[in-house]
Amino acid sequence: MHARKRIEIVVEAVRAEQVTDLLDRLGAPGWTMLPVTAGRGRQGLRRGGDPAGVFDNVLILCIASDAVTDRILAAREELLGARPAIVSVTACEVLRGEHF
Amino acid sequence: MRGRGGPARRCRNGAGYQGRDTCQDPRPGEAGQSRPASAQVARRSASRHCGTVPDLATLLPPPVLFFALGFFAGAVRSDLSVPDALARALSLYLMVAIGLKGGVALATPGAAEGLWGALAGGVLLSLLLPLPAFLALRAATRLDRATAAAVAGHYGSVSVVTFAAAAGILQARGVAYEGFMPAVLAAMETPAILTALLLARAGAPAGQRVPTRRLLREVLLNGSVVLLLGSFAIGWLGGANAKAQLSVFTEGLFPGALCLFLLEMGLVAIRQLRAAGRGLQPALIGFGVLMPLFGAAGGLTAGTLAGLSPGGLGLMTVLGASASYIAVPAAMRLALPEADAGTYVTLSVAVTFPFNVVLGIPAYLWIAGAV
Repeated sequence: MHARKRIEIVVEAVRAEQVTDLLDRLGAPGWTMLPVTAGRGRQGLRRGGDPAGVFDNVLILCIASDAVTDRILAAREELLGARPAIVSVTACEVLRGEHF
Repeated sequence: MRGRGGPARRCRNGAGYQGRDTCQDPRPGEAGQSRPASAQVARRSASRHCGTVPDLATLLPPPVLFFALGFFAGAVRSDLSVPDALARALSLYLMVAIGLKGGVALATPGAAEGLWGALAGGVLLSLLLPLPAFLALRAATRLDRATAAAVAGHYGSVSVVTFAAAAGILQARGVAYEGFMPAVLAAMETPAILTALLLARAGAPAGQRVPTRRLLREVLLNGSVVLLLGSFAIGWLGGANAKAQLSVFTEGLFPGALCLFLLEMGLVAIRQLRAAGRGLQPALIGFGVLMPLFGAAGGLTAGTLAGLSPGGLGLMTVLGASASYIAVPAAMRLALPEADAGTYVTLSVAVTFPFNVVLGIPAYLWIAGAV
């Protein structure tokens, strides 16, 4: 097993492409996007499903090396400019280190 | 009989149009009506609005009742729900059907008469309506500049489903309208977005502005516009053959699909009202009801100047009165992230849309002389 960092970003669906573009630009090996059904935070309850998808959130999951993770976190202004609701980083292990 | 180069005009109750805003006395048994050819009938027939006051079934057609059903189900917290994927599929279907039918109709020789005037009127309406909306919001409410601009943009743009509901009523009543109206609908989707962004420009910090290319792509190439115009072009190219092949799809399924979609919209409206409605200022709710009337007047004016038939005039009035809840909210969320999405989504979905569907459309069509 190989140590890596797991970055989870909850962001509005309309801005997801900004985040994935940033990840691609900073050398992230890949990312996975998952739909979010509902959530609650400082701004109250947020439930998707409106016709325009304005209240839809997605969760972008990215597993990357320490170096790539540091680059992503260093670009915090651009990252936060996309208005993500949550950015979290945790330590994880992966089976095929050469892929991350 | 064709009037002023447009589609054959019809009167209510299926009576024949005799020109100069007159209708012939309906023959006994025609369109389910049976009445003597009396002087009273002749005088009523000579008026612009042929026949008696609309009955309840006309005022509350099935799509409207399904909207009310969805609203009621949501209000009593029934577990009724329409899967998101189905709702989006129905939205796609409605746009395809409207675009295809319009394109096929436009392929008929002579059907393009009045197209450019209607297009110009529609685009101007979309560009200009956000201005009085913005001024009214800034003067009468506590909205910040960005949110006021975002809301104003919604009311300059249009609602495909409101148009579909009105077109459905005209179709059920046998009232023809210009085939190019779906093209007018598509043309009116985006100019209002540009006006809204100009109005808000001073309030947007430079660092948070969305790159122009992405925004332009969202505004000019959003799914609704691409699908409407694309379906319209396909229908126009296919002409009578396309109509023969697809009539079951575009006409047979349309009323039912509209009912299902409006059921979902009823659920969405009450859900949005519950989520954000308590925070809406009374002045905003008033705006959500009065602005459609102002927009309807603008649509009526633009359609009259363009020389549209009563059916086309009715639809142009509906377009002026409607507010977007698909294309514009997404564009505003991208371009004006500081604007309060809860305000503009709630206004367009939970205030204006129900008002237009239940009360506005019948009134607009009646004023335009379409029903």
